[in-house]
Amino acid sequence: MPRNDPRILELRALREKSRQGGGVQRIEKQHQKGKMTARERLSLLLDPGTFNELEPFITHQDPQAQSQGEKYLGEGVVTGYGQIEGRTVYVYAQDFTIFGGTLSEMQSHKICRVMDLALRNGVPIIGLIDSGGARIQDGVSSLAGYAEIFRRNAQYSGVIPQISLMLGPCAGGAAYSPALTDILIMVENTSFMFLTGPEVIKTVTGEVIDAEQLGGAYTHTAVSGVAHLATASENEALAMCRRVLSYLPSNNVENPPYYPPQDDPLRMEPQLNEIVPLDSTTPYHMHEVIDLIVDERSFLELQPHWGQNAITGFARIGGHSVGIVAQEPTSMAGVIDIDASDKMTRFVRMCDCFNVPIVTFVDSPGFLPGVDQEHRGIIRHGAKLLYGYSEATVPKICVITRKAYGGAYVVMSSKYLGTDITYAWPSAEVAVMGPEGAVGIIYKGQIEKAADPAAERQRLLDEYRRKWNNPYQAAGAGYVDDVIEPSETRPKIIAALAALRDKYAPNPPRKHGNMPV
Amino acid sequence: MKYRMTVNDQTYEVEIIDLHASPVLVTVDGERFEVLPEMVELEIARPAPKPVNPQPRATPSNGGSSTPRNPNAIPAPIPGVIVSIAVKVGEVISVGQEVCILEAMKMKNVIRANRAGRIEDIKVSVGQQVRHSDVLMTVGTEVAL
Repeated sequence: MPRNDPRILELRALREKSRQGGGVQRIEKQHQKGKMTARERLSLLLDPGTFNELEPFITHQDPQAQSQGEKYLGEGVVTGYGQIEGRTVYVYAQDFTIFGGTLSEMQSHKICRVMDLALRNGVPIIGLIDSGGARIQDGVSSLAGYAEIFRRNAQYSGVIPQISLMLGPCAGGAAYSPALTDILIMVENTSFMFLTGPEVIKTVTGEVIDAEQLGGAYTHTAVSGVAHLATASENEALAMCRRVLSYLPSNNVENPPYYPPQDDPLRMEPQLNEIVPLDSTTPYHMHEVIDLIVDERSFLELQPHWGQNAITGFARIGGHSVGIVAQEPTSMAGVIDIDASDKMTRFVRMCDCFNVPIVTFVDSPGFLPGVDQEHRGIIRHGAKLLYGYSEATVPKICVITRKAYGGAYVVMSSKYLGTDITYAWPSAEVAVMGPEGAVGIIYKGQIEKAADPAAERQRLLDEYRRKWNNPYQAAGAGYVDDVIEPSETRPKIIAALAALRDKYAPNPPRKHGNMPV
Repeated sequence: MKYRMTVNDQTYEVEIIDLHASPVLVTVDGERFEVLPEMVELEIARPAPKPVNPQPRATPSNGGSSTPRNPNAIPAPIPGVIVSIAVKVGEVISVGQEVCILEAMKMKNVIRANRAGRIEDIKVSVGQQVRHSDVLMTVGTEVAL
């Protein structure tokens, strides 16, 4: 082949044109907005030099559109595969420089193609989303394109991890795809998600709100609970995605990666013995408990600003991935309300999908009382939580740190729901209800008849506390496997995880369950 | 098609030029509006012509409650009883500072300021029972701290 074979030169020129996306000017515009191009993002997300692009020559197939002059290679999305920490992932990154990254029929074909490849090969699919929505010129074909993506999101859910990074706008039905994925990361002041935008809302309901307040990173991580994580910059979002994947296996038949721990597996933590105040109404920080037990700095909290009375997140204990579920006594006493139920349930089910053992720290004083909660269906939402725990077949370990009252304990990974190992701290209070309520009901008559009702009530309260505000009644009945010193919690959990590693406890065969939603 | 509609005692003359056009052209008291089809259903279902100047309504609430939130208010996050109040009217507070303790669900919940400013009004007293999202106190415009 001659050195200047025109065919080679043509290929080089086309490749270069494809790499330019919507052209130098539009790339410049994207940079001015403080945003990276699709290719720049991929080069930061993936291990250096591992990205292999697929279908860069795809163009719009409508001859009419082609004759109108502007023709861009790639159709506004860059797709392919690469590696993260040496593990293969498939990726797609919408290219805002081509028609604002809008979804055309051919763009959806490209996205579906990498989703299918990811499924077939059992590896994660990561979507970098930056799109103005449907390509209106494509008409119903772009709607069909969305539907094809949604269907795959739903069908592949629980088979391969799906991660979405919101790096620009995502309006209308397009928002459903990221919402269906396992982890959704947003960037502050850059990404917005909503079904109906500020303009439509203003016309229909008269409410005035800007895009950031309606569907920005803060809104979706603190108010709506749609997203899991928010970062200050695109760079951090890409790094966060890499970190999230470090806790997850590539698919539902693999185990999560093991990272040899730097932290001593036998580490005793005397501080934990002093963390729960003697006065049972004084709060303490469950976050501190978690940080002291898991491998140093391994806790990655999800949705830290939404439903703060509940805590969910990934961590490593003894080098193994675990899902942490807990309640935070400093936030609304750690009650279970609708948001907390939703938050914990979704997380429990994600862990179960991907073979991540669940470690639950229980300090459960009750369900949030109130007409609002009841009328909005706390029963239905609380039911999900116990459904999720009951259905989960991964190793389940539970540590009761303090309150474990009534139904609010039952739904929190209680032993009755199939938890494998249940530990209680000596500060645990396992009872049907709190002393005040219980004494008022059981001894109503006795208190009324007493010469000094107040003194009698106090006497009965103290008696009730002595009898029930401890873990030994539950341990005596076999509902707690052991009562342990808080300081030995870490080695105890590590030992339990090792003993449960080959757990096999399948659910009865079925098409799928019918969880209340 | 012409309609006469009365909303809040005010009568509007509404004319829909073609119900099947997209956008549908509507005149309300002589002023023309373009309405998108999915909104038409809404308009027909509730026979209310769009107000000419829609009043801005609720700002987003901050915590799942459907009640619109006063940005100056510190609301009760949970129903319970006030056991102590840590601030006085006129006091300047900073974000995260303890303002009172609300005993609920067998727990002394520390309520912290969600914004900086001067305490304008304390609406509760020790021993008082409060409901979810009741206003505990209001904080005036932010002061430089």
